[in-house]
This record gives sequence, structure tokens and C-alpha cells, in this order.
Amino acid sequence: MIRTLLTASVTVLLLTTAVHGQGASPTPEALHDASQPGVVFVASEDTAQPWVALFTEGFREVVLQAGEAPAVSFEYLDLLRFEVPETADELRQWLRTKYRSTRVDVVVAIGEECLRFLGADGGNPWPDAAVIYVEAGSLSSGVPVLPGSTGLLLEDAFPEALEVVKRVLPGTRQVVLVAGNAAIEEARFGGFGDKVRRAGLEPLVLSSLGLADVLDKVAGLPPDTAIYVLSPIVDGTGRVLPPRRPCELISKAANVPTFVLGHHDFGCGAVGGLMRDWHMAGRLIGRHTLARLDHALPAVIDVPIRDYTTMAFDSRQLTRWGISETRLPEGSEVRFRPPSLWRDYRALSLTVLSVLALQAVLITVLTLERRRRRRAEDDSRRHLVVMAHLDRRAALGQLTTALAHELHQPLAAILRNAEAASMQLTAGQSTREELLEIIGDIRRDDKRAATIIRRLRSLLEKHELETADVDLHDVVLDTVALATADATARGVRIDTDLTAKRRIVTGDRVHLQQVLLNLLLNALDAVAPMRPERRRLVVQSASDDAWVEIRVIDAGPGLPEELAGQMFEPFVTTKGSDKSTGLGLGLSIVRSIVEAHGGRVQARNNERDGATVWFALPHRETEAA
Amino acid sequence: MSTPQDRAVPAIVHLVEDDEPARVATSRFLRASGYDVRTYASAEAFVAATPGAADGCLLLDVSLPGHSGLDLQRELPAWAEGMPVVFLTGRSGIHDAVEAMKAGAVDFLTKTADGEELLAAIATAFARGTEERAVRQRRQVAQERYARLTPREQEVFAHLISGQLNKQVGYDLGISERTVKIHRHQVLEKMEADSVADLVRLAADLGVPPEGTVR
Repeated sequence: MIRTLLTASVTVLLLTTAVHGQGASPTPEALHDASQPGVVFVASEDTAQPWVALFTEGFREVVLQAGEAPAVSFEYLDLLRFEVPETADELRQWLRTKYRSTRVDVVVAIGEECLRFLGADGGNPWPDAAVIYVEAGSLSSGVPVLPGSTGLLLEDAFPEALEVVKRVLPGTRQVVLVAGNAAIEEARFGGFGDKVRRAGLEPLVLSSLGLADVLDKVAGLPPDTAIYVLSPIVDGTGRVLPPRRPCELISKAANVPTFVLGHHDFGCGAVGGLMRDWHMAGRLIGRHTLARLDHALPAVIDVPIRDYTTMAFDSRQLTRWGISETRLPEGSEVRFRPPSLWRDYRALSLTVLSVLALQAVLITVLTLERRRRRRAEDDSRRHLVVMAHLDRRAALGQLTTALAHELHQPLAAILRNAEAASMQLTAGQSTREELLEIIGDIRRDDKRAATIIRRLRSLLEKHELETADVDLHDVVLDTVALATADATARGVRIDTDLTAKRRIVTGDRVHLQQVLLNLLLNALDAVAPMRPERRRLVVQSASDDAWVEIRVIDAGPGLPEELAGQMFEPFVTTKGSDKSTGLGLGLSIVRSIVEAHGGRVQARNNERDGATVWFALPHRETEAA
Repeated sequence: MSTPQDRAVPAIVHLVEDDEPARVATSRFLRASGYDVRTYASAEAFVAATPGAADGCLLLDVSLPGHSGLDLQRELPAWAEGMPVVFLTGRSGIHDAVEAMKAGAVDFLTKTADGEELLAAIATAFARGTEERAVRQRRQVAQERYARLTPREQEVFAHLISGQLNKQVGYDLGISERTVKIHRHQVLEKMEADSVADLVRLAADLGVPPEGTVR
């Protein structure tokens, strides 16, 4: 069948040998210990070919790292590009001379040409050495088989590679083969067209064109075509092409996907697929070389595809040609992925993502929680508004008598003034000034009555919580005015002791008034039964940079010890059961209102008589009175 | 109804009212009505004052800061003792009214009562004041005379005003009729009375109860 035309037809020769004739008596030429086995690695091409370099590298890795490493020499014949028969003879002669005093046990021959080289008449520079060679499938006809040699015959990977092409590009009908034009290349790749045909595809071989023409050609191929770039070394115009370069240029110019045979070309722009891996092959040969140094090997060893091929794909090309990774054969390696956080830092990405997700969940939960709480707060605020309203009505109910009295004052004054004026006019004894004064007083008292009514009404109205700037001293004065009538009726005096500076708080005026009113009414209840000199309340203000405090100080009996700390709880009352007025909600509403304003309310007994109840609110920037 | 103009000396109304506008208006009205008015802002201010004449009436606001009007009524200073009181209130508290009337107030008016009502109440107060003054004066005279009697004479006095004859008095006290006659003469002399009927009137002023029974 087709001869060896794998990219690197490789032949390994291995000679088991005693050292040659003169080896018995060491001469000055023998540079190394004759007891150490020697291996010569012979390649038909030059080291610049990537596949040769890979081969060498794989081989070295294995052989030189063996326990008792042999001495290894490398010879690159570079026969491919120089087809001048005489040079071979001269080279053989030269090698014979070079190795005449060196022990060589095994010759590793890479490439069929090496076998020809070694097998020529009288030519073998290492006639006593065992030969290990590598070849695809079988040797070409006319290649001499050296006695005692071992051939590693590589199973042909190309048919399998074509199947892979058909699998990833199911519509493929034609395969373009871009091969080199050198004789050795023709020998290697001549049978490839048939292999394509046997795979059920139409081959088109481009070997006689210059690279520029090839590039033109591949740019306008029918869509159901795939290109195999067979690592051309010399193009149709006789130009020597640098390795890899043809693949790069063709892949770039082509309008259809390109493939390569060898893994060493992978990354040039080809899609990938099943590729021969010369590094693997080098290691394989290395292992057999070591084995041959130890014992004899059969004449032929079949090497299955999987032992020297790699299934790999270029992610960029898959993307370029729209090939889904799901179509790739199992076990394929996908390389050259675009940098991806996910792929390169999966653990880190996972961690970060988990943290983000956790955070998101947390934020969501907190937001929901906050919304729920706000709803609850809204509810409780609504309840507070209702409760506060009821409480105000109760408080004002308590005040009604006193307030009626207070309303009586201006009304009575108006009446008396009117009567006085009337009398003076009747008697004709009044002066104009006196009458004007009386009328002025009447007007003033009328306004006073109106103020009392307004004050009452604002507290009686059902009132939503509003937020505005409130002068706390105004609140105090207004509320004290409201409570004074009741206080007076019960013989209690209310004094105010306010700081010179006015304090502005943010809040709801009516509710703040209610707070103080509650505290005042409680204090009134506390002192009303006392002796006259103790029937006195003081409303005091104090403040620092942040807080303003309003205190209601009484001289009553003080707070019962057992109520300490729970006075502001609902249904706790300081009032005896004889008075049914104390439902015990007043102070809890006070606390709710104060806390809704960001403040706090507290109570304690005075050092001497009575108790002090105070509330503190955060105030805004101070404004001079 | 007597008017202030009927009197020789202007009648003084002592007005205790904490609300300044009401105080001014009320005093203005009373002055226009012919009264002399003294004003006080609190019970304490009234107690602290020392007006020259006790003749007057007290117009008192029930609701006062500190001592209330009712407190003041109960604890009038010595110089104002027996002064008739008219209460003014801003509300119609029946409890306060009852208490005030029990304690001898002349009247209990709402502040918004008619001026005429107010003047009538004040007039009544003055009338009662005059009356009480007269009673007090008589009692004082009687007490001065009564104080001159010896204890035995006071005993005889008590029996005489019960309407007993000399003989019965002598029997009750265990003395002779003749001795009773001597005591009776002394009593009539010291009490500056012309007859037993005069003694009975004086006894009423004094509040001395009769003793013994008429058989």
C-alpha cells in the first residue's frame, strides 16, 4: 500500500553492536567509556522542521532520562532538499570516519530515506548496530530491509482523520489537498487522493501551484469543501516554504475550513481534528530504543493510531466556522480558547459568583424585610394616629370644663366691657379715649376666644402625622396655655422655665403638643390633691448640641417604686382604681409619639418632693431666639 | 335695691381675679356702676393687702392659681372677717357652688351673667354686710355689758330671760327672793336695760341660752 507518507516518515535503525573493530583496544579517538551503550539518532530531514524537532525532543526525554542512559548522537541528513546522489556517498564516508572509534549499539532511523541511505551498497556507517526504524503502514518498495532491524509500523491515521472531518463538517463533499512539489513529498503524499476518495469525498490536489496561486484558489472554493494542508516544504514554483507558514497563509485566505496532519502545525489556523503527534512518536521510539538495548525485538511492531495521535481542535476556528463543540468526538481537546474568566479562574469565579449571589440574596431578603418592616411601621403609625387621636379626645374631654372656663374669660370680659361702655355712654361721663380703650379690649378678647377655639380644634381633629420644623418652645407655651385653665381650676400653678435659645425639631406639632399635654395632665393629677404650696408644676427646657429636653417637674407624691421602668407601657397606670380616667394608654402613646420622633421619654423621682418626667428630641441647628 | 349712691361712703368692691382682661373689664364696669373697686390678681395678693376700711364686699373668682377662691373664703384674713362674698366662676360646677353657699357666700354667678345680676348680687352683699355689721355691733355692746356681771348675776340673768318670777329664780338658785331682787336690779342696771324684754333681746344678741323652767 501506500508507502510511508506520513509527515515524517520515520525510520529508526537500531544496531546492536559490539563496538567496531578497533573498539577492542582503546585509542585516543575514543572519547567515551566503551562500556556505555551508544545510540545514534538519524533523521532524513533537518532540525528546522518542527516535526523533526518534536520527534527529537520526545526521544530525548525518554532516552536521556533512563536509569542508565546511553550516549546519544544526532545526525540530520537533510536529504530532502538536496537531491544530489554523490553527497550521500560522501556523507556516509564522512560518518564512517566520524564514528570509527565510537561504540554504537542502536541506530534510530527516522524516515524511509534513512533506510535507503543506510542500505546502499557498502555504505552503512554503522554496519554492526541494530536498526530501529519508523514507517507508516509499510515500507515503500525498493527500500532495503536491513537484517535484524525492527520496524515500528504506524497505523495510517489519515482515513480516520477524514472521518473526523466528515463528523465535524457533515456537509463536506470535497477535500483540497495542498501538498509540496518536492519529489520526496510526491512520494509521501501521492496516495492521499485515493484515501480521500475511499472516504467518499472528492479530492482536489494542489501541488504544482506556487503559494500565491494556492492562496488565490483557496479563497474561492465551494462551501462544501475542506482543505488539508500537508505541510508543503517546496511549492510548485520551487520555492522553499518555511514550516507552518503555508498553513497560516492558507487558513487565513481560505473561505472554507483547513486541516493539518500533524499536531505541530496545530494553531496555524487549522480547525484541528485527528493529528499525528510527533512528540508522542518520539517518546514511543525512545522507549523501544531502550528496550532494544536490553533485548531483541521482533522485526515488525504495529503502532495503533491512538499511540501517536492527538484529537484536538482550535476554539477560534470552531467559532469562525460555526462548528458546535457538541459535534466534536468524545475526548477531544479544545485549545486556544479566548481568555475566559470562567475557564481560567473557575474556582475564583465560582467563589466570586457565589459571593455575589449570596449578596444578592441577602440584599433581596433585607429589602423585603425592610419593606415588610416599613409596612408594619406604616401600620403602627396609622394605629398611632388613631390611638393618639382618641387619647387627645380623652385628654381634651378632661380639659373641657376648664377650657369652657377659659373661654368664659374673654367672653365675660367682652360682656363687662360692653356693659361698662354702655353705662358710661348713658351717663354721658365717658371720654372718647376711654371708649376707644374699651373697644380695643373687646377686640383683643375676641381674638383670645378665637385662639382658644383654634387650639382646641387642632387637637380635636383627626390628624395625620406631618413632618415640619417645629419650635418646641412654641409647643410648650401653647400646651401650657391649654392646660392652665384646668390647672387653675384645680388650684395648680404651671410655671415655665425655658432656655433663651429656641430649639427647632422636626416633627408633628399636634402630636408633640399631645405628648406634653399628657405629661402635664398626669402631673396635674399628681399634685392636685396636695397641699396648696405643693400644687405647682414647672415645665423646663434644656438642651445641648444635639438634644433638647422638655421636663415636667411636679411636687406630687412621686412615682411608686413598683412602676419604675414600666410607666410607659400600655395599661400601666399610676392612678388609683378610684379614678376610672386612667386607662393607662396615655403614657404609652407618649412614648410611641416621642420614639416616632427619634426621641426618648423617661421618668424619675425628684430628690425631694415629686417626680420629673421628661422627653428628649434631637434638634436641628440652633437658631437664636 | 339699694344703690351705692345711697351710701355716705363709697362702697368698696374687692375684686380677686387672676385673668387680667377680665379683671380690668369687671372693675371698669363696677366703677361705671358707682362702686369703688380694689383689684387683686390672686388670693395671696388679697391676703397680703391691708385696706383701711372693712366695709366692702368680696367679688371672688373661684379658679385662682395657688389658693383658690374657696380656700380664701374659708381663711379670710382678720381685717376682712365677715365680709360678704360673691363668687364668680367660669363654669357651672354645682359642687363648688354648694360648697361656697354653705360657707356663707351671698351668691354664685357665672362670669357671663348679666351685669344687672352681678350688680344685684353685689347690692345684696352690701345689704347683708350692713346688717351683719349692725348685729355684730349690738352683740359687741351686749357683750361689753354682760362682761360687767358677776357670775351670780349672770346666773340670775339666764333665769330671768326664761321668764321666771323672782320667787322661782330664788328657789332654783337656792337664794331668797329678796336677794334675787337685788341681783335683778344690778343686772338691769349693768345691762342698761329697762325691762326683762330688753334683757331677752340682748340675750339673743349674745347668744346666751335661758335657764330654768316657768312653772
